[in-house]
Amino acid sequence: VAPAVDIFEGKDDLLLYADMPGVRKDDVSIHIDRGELTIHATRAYQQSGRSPLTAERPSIDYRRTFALQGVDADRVEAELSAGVLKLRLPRSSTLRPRQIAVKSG
Amino acid sequence: MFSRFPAFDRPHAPFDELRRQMFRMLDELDTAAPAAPDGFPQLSLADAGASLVLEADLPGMTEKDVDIQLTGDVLTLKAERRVSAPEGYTVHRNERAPARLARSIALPCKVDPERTSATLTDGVLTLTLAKAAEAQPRKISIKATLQARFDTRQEVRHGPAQDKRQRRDEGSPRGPFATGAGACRAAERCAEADRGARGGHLRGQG
Repeated sequence: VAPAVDIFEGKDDLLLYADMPGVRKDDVSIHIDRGELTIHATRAYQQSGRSPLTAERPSIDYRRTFALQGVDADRVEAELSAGVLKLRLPRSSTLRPRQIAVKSG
Repeated sequence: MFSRFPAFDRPHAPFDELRRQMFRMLDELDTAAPAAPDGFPQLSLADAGASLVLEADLPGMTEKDVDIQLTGDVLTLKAERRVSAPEGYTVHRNERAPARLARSIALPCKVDPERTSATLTDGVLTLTLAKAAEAQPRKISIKATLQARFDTRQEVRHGPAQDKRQRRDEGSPRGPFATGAGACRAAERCAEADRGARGGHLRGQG
C-alpha cells in the first residue's frame, strides 16, 4: 500500500511526511539509491488470543518510491512519531540558488 | 568529460525513467491507505475473552484530538486531524488532508463503562473495554453422568486409529463428542454465542 504523503518545500530542504500508523521504528527501512528514495515499512496485525469481529486493519506493507533531484543523500534525517514518518531532505549545496557578487575591475 | 556518453556503467539507465513513471502511475492509483467508506481510518474489533479490544488507525493525532464516548453499547469515536504546512515551507504535495471524523459502532455485547482503558501509541488507538458482568464468559459444567456415558462409549467403540480422531475432535467444540472443556470454551465466546456455543450445548447434551 502506498502511504499518504505530504511534501513541503523549503529554501534549504524538503520535508516529507508519510502516514504509517502502527509501524514501529525497527520496521521502517529507507533507501536512497541512484536518485530514488524508497520508504518501506511493515505493520503486522497481531491477533493472538483474540477472535476478530471486524478486521478492517489487515497486515500492511507500506511502500513508496520517489525520484530525488538535488538532495544531499548523506544528510537525510528521519523521525517516526505518532505513526507519522518524517523525513528531512536537505538540498545539496551545489543546487542551492546562489548569489554571485560582481567585482568591479 | 564522459558525460557525453550515456552512462556506460548503467546500460539500463534509459529504462529507469520509464519504470519510475510507470510506478508513479500505479502509486497514484492506490495512493490513499484503505479507509472505511465514510472516510474514517480503519477500525478493528476483537474479542479477547473477558474484554473487547478495539484498534483504530489515527496517524499523527494526539490524545487531545480524540474523543471517545460510550452510550449503552454504542461506542462513538471522534477524531480531528489538523495538518498545516510548517512555517516557511510551501506545499508541494498534500495527501494527508485535515479532517474531522466520527464513527459509531454497536458493540456486540454490554461493556462495563467503569473499566475501560485507552492508549494511543504509534498512531494506533487501542481501546480495551471490559465486558459487563452479565456478558462475561461463564463456565457451564456438564453433568457427570453424561460425561461418564460418553467415556464408556469411547472406550468400547474406538480402536487405536479412531482414538487419534477423537483426540483431534477434543479441541473443537463442533466435534462429534464435545467434552466438557470443549463445550465450555464454546460457551465463553460472547460474540459468537449464536454459532459456537449453541453447537457445543446441543452436542453436549445429546
